[in-house]
Amino acid sequence: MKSKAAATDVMLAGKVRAKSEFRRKQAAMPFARKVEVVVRLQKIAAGIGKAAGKKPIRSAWRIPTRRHPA
Amino acid sequence: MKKTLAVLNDLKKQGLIADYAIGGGMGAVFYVEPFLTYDLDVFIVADEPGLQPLESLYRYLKKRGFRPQQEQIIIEGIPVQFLPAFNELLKEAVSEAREIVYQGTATRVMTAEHLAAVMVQTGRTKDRERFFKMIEEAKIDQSKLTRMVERFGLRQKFLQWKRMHDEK
Repeated sequence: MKSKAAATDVMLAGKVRAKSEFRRKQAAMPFARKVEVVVRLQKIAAGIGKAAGKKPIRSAWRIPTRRHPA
Repeated sequence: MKKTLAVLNDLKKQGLIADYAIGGGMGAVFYVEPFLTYDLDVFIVADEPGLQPLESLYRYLKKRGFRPQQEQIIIEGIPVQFLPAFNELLKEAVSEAREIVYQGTATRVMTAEHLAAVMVQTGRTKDRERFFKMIEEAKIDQSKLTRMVERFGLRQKFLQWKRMHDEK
């Protein structure tokens, strides 16, 4: 029977492999799709800033600046 | 984004710039998994070298109704930062950029090797993180990159960053 530490190592190795496979898949996405993801990330970042009481990120794409004056 | 790229192509057609290439974070996103980046870095080579290569560009864009905001100019809703190719590596990166088509609009993106070399040359912490990502996820021609870093005097830093990556 495998020790608990060995089992953990196997599990972690699997996780690392899955993560790098996921990254490679993400990297292979079409550029237009990646740009959509970047825009979504910017909106999330702007939302987090707003929730934390900070000024929204002014340069975030497609976020109307009139509603978020600097 | 598509409209922004059309404006960039128009700048070339109008003779305001000789050529351009997308670099920086968005350039890297072309090769690796998407990450958070705020503007579109566009490296330009001006037709006539002058002290202020961006002046006529900004004048033209302002006339078209695009407004500057800090170091960027908002073109069709996207903050674009124009950066003159101020050294030989950047000039080569612009001239040898890849022609791609984004939703039917042609544009130019720096090659993965040039982006990685520019990251080494710029040398900030975020450049190092992006360099690691490029090494892991982008299909980089290692011998081309090695020759490039040697040609531009970046070998030592490149090897140092590669070592850091391998020890990670």
